[in-house]
Amino acid sequence: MQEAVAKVSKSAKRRPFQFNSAILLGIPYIAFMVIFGIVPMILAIIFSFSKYGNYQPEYFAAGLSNYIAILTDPQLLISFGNILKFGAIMLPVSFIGALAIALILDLADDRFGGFMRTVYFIPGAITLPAVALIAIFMFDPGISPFGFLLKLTGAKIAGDILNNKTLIYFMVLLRFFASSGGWIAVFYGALTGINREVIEAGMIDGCNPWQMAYYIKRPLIMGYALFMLINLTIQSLQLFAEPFIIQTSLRTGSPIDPYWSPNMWSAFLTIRTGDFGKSAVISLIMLLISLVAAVFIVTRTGMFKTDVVRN
Amino acid sequence: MFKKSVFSVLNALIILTFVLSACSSPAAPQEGGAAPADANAPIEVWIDAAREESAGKFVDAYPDKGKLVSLTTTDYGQLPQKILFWNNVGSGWPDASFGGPQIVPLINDAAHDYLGDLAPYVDPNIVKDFAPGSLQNCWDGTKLYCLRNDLAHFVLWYNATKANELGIEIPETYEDLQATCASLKQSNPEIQCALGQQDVSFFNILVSNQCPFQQIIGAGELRINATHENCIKAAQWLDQMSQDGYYKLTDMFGTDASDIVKSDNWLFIPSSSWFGDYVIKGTYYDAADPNFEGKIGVAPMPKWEGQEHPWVFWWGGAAWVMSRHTQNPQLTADFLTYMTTDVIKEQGTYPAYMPAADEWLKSRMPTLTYLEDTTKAGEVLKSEAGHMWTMATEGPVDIGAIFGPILTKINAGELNYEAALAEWQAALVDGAGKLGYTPVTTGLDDFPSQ
Amino acid sequence: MAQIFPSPRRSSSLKNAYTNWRYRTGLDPVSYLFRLGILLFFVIFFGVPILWLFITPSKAHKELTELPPLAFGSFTNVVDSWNRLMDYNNGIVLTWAWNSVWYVAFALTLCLIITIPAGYLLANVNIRGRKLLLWATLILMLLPSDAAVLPMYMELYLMRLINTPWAVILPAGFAPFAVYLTYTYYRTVMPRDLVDAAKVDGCSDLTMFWHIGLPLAQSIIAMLLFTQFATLWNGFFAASIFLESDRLKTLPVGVWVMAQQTGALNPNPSAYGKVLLLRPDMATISVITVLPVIIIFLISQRFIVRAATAGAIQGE
Repeated sequence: MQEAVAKVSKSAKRRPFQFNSAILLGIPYIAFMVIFGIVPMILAIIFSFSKYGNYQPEYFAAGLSNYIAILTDPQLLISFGNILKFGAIMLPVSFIGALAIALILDLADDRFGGFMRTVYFIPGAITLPAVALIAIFMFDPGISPFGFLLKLTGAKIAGDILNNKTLIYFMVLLRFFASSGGWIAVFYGALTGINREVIEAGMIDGCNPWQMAYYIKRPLIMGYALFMLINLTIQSLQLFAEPFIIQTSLRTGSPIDPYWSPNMWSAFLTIRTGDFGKSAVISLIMLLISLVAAVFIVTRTGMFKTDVVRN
Repeated sequence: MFKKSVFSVLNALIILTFVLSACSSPAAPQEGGAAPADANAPIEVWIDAAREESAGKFVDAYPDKGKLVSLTTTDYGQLPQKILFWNNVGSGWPDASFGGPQIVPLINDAAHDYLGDLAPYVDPNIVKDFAPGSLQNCWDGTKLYCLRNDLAHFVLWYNATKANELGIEIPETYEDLQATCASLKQSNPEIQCALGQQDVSFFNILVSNQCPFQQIIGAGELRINATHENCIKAAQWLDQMSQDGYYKLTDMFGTDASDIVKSDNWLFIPSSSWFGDYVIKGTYYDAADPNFEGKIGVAPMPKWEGQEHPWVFWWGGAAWVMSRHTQNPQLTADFLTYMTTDVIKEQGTYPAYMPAADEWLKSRMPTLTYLEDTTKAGEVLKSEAGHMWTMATEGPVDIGAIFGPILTKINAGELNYEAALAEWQAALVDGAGKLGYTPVTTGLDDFPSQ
Repeated sequence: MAQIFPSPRRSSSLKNAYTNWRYRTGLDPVSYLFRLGILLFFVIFFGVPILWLFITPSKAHKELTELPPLAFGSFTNVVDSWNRLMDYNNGIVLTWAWNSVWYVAFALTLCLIITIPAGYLLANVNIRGRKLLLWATLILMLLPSDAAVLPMYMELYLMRLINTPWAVILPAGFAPFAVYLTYTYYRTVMPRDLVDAAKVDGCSDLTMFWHIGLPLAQSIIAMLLFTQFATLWNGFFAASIFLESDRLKTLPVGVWVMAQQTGALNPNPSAYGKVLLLRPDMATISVITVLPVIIIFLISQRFIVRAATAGAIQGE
């Protein structure tokens, strides 16, 4: 087998460039990627060097002034500080939480599993304004089903609970509520892909279901788990929905100002002042940081490696 | 390799097309000026669902003009944001739009450059007849940038049956109100003397004493002086009232407030003109409940000792704006005039145009059976409409959003209202900076009283 | 199972029932109860707010604060709520719902047609630039959507697609998240030996895709179905920025417009007009909006196939 493979690759090297018809599989994707991915990104970079604020933009007229303005603005550190606090708690909670629940669900193959997976998934399926509506009620001690818990803290109105100290925890709660279900369902799909023989081998070796979950199943779905980790990092960096929900749902004072997270600040610049240049700068900074994190995860874990022999 | 180069060439071509077309949009009018007028050009107006029917009446009333008007029902709140996009592609602006109360300050800047001057196209006699102060933020020098749709001025709603039962006289000054609440606390401690919506009531108190927390005073300059002595005096009063439990500031739409009101142990709710129709009736009380009849009274807001009359804040009050890109400004202005002076009397909230308001009061007040004295209520609404101190408190900075984090601290007990003023001042100045304005942080006396 | 248990018995004695149960679930009672406890805790955490959402349409506005949070109101309230929603702007809710249905159907089809082959390509085909494509996909997935808004607006404007359904449908074709998921799936599910062996046998990549990749795609289609459907159905920003007229909007955007303009979430006095929508109405429309996603999720779960029955590729 090895020699056969080696022979194939050697002969391939000697051949001149050959058109692999399989590229057809990717052409539609590449086309859409160019139009809706690459061009917008290039334009965003162009905008970051352009001057806005005077009815029509002047491309390339700003030089580095947008970059300087954003990098020297104290708001930058404040906003990034906020999401750092959020991410520091959200990442471990969501990562371990979703993975653990998925594995625990899969410990036994029973009827409850499907029902519970559906229940966990539904919150993620609700549209944003509806989540805001739910949030208004869940946080009001007078009418929330969890009201008795909230009243234990002495709160009378929603604003009492959501103060500066508890804010981050509630946002993590909201995020966990809304997005774990989707990941649990994805992990279920992944777990069903595990070869039955592997499971049975584990059983014969004397693993109990818990050991099986931890030592056998977990590593086999690590590909998906790392993908989730990247996504959680992105979500943390691009945090918008949760602060937005809290700001919308609290009528009497919310601890969130319009530029609380970098994404909110960027949206503020886009929506209020029309300064697309500065907003592009913020987005590119976020992209850079996400990229560093993703590269770290990808290269350290070999996510991109396949054993497919290259030409 | 070949494919890569094909793609990069494609990319370059696409980008070039964009950049060139954006740089030289032939359709875009010159910066600042208005488009040439054409009396037969069609116009597009953005409205919301609630105005569809009344807007349709323009077509019935003026069939010739009406057929040139097309209405787009949409989320008018997006107008400021969409203008910024349209500016980038050089087309797409509606000729006119319905807007929230802050619409003009929100878009009256160089980035939007959207507003068209209504003054040449609206009869000055009509403009004169809008409630005093209601058009304050529509005027920019001699340019009229909006027509006010309705008003939401503050009045004092009170529990008339309870007041009569306890023999309480409605106070005319804030000092009297404090005294009334103090004696009420002695005699009937279970009654909540005054209730109000948290942040709005604070703004109202500040406005009542003419606190200049936001005013556009010139191109790009914003006066922000929330620590002026007027503001401090008002905040101190509020601190006193809320500390002693006389004035409860809370979320009026939550259970905390509705429990108090439903138990009938309340006396005063200083709030907007629409509060009675849409919250007191409906959220707190059932319209069909016989006990609710004749229960509620309306009085002018208190004034400070030494003031001639009260000054009040407002919580709402939409407006209509016109685009400078419109090709038929006269028709547009006629449409806006019709909406604000004619059909407005059938709408649900108090019209800004005084003659229409008179008719609104005449037809609507008698139907409001929950009021103790509908004639008196009508008079109060009318007189208070002229007492809005709009001059120095409406501007581009979102005072509610900026005040939010500070209010959280107040609720947590870390700050009182007086101390909050300094923090709010700093946050407002920061917010103004983020919007590109230069903050001016002094004075009140260098502009004439309204 | 720590020990191999004897096969299930059909007689109904208690001991046999216990054996059957242990065989079926594979857990000892303590573990089972622990597992049940944890899962029930989360059912309450995730489920109670949802239950609240589904119950709220049955209450009148005042009853929201009067009745206990999870108490059922009455069916007449639901009917009233529905009528008020239909009244709003001449039943535009139905137009929004229909728009949502067909925009998402087209967008989803487009997305699947583009994504599955692309994911397969990235996982199993060795072409030049495979790594480049993978990195490009990753980088573009990381780009905040805010940065792309104005560029896409300008592109769509040049293509004359602003304020048309295509402005919402076409961008859905580029879904880097979905491509990544597909890539991960194919990498996990197709063993190297098979791929290499087939190549040595002279099988071209396209033939492999057709005969192996596609049949295997059942599970990934299911996974993409529920992740992409939920994203597209609830997709908010494209529809609100690239569409202007109310008649073209989708359900989530419409819900947002209703919330803003009727004071259902926050007081909006200028909106108080003929049709007064209240909080229970927001709940009703939210329930309607979420139902399709739940249905699609349930359907797609059926298609996630256990590897044991997936097909002949396991264990030659």
